[in-house]
Amino acid sequence: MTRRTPWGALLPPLVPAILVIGVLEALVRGDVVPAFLVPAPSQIARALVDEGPSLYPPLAQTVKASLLGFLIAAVVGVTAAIALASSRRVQQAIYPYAVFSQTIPIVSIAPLLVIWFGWDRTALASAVIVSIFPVVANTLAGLRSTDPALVDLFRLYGASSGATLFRLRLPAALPQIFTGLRVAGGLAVIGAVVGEFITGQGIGGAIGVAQQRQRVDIIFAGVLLASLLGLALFGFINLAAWRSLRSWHVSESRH
Amino acid sequence: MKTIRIIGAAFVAVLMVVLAGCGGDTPAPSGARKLTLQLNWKAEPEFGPFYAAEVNGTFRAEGLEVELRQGGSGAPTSDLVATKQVPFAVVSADQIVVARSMGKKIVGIFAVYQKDPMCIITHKARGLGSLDAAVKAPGTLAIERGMPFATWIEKTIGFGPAKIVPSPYGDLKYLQSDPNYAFQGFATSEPIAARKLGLDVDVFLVADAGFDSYQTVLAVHEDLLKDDPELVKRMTRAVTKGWEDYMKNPEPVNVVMGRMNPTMDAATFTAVTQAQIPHVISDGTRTRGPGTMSLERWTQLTDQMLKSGVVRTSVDPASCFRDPVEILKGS
Repeated sequence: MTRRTPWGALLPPLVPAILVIGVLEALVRGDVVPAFLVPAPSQIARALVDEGPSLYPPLAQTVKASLLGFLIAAVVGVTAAIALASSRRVQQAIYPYAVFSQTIPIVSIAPLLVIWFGWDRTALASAVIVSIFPVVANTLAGLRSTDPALVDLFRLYGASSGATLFRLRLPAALPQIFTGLRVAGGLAVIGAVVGEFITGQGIGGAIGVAQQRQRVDIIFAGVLLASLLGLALFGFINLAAWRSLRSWHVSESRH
Repeated sequence: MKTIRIIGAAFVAVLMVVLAGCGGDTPAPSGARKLTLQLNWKAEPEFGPFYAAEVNGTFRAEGLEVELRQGGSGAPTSDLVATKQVPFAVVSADQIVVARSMGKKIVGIFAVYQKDPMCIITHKARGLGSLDAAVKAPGTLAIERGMPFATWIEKTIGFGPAKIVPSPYGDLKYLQSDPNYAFQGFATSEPIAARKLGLDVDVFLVADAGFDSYQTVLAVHEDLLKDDPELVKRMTRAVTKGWEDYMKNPEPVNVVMGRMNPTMDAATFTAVTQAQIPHVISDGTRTRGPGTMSLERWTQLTDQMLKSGVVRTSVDPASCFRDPVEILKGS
């Protein structure tokens, strides 16, 4: 087990970031690229400070919609996967529709979500709809790939089906569940922002206003904040995965 | 394997469309100059003068082969001109002012809508008597906050307790489902569609409240005026002729536009064509000519936009436009 300093781990991803920021700044300042097409990183930074009132209160709304959407997707998704895994027949009946739900282009139904759920819950609904499928699919895959020898062992000792589920199959499926949650986290943010384009709330709404104002710097600042939110969620899920898997699963134990 | 082939074919098709769209300004085999005029909405009577010039062969008579390309609600037409991806595009006067404040060198050369049809539409049953009352009433107000007219309303009239949401862009289902819903639209379009659905609506023009921007403005890059004044002149002449033809006889042109825009039936086309006359005909068009624009109007607009904080730096109103009447006289 090699112990690396935090700096050693941070340096590699920082190099391309610094490079890209430097090149962009130079291109815009040198008038190679007009600032109205691609804003200089310094302009985006200034927008993050100067346009605070039009960015941070909306960001709070996006945080709320995407986090809540993610949590609902996680709970409902895992529960649904358990139900699907319980019976081959149920799975055959329902799973195709779960796949079908994933192919819905959310942008095209987002205006309807307003009618169904109201202006204030559209972003949340959109976040849930786009992020639930990866949770269901990955959890189901995990539940179905329990080591048959261990299932036999549980049966041999007369374990109830509940015990088999909670002591064996769910824990064994955790790595896949976390894979699903990682994907769902990013999608929840995207889903929330798409919904917000229709409702005008949150970062999506702020980006919409900036588009009308032809303010590319604010658009990029908004996109940056949405991405950071997605990253934070990803980091949080990774932390949870590490805490729950490090003691036994190879994917998290080598650090 | 079959799927892959279909995807491949689809990809090639998309590529061809994209490549075809790239032909900005190349000589056609016939010798006519091939170019694109980017519209900012679907084929509708507001673009009648352009389609008339196409249908009646006026573009061709000027040696132009023009592709009239339809746009959507988010079509960044001013940026297409500013980056010279298309030589001609339809924008609004207030977009030109915002664009110029950011160093985009675009110039308006022909204004179809002399009076801004931008309006707030409400259910008649609410009995709101004015624009002031309409934007200050409780309920839901659908208005694009970033648009200059909306900022002007916010600064000079002020919003009330209504929930502010983005424009539905012609989608009337919110109006149908919510009795306290008010929304922005064009007086020439949404009210007609709403009445067709049996909804009784009031229409409050933003222009009547004081903010009157030219709409459906043909724009070019400043450089084109310098580098190819002849092309600009030919286009202006064709559009002016198209305007006159369309005002005299709109129906054949409406039939062609109707084929491209099936969301509007023939009766709606006729109704819209009637409704837009007070927006297209002005004292200016009567005394000077079709599409004319005045320095007074542009000065008022740039002043209002600076005062309400839409633009942060002052924009020279004279730099924003060339009066088509002057272009046609031009040396």
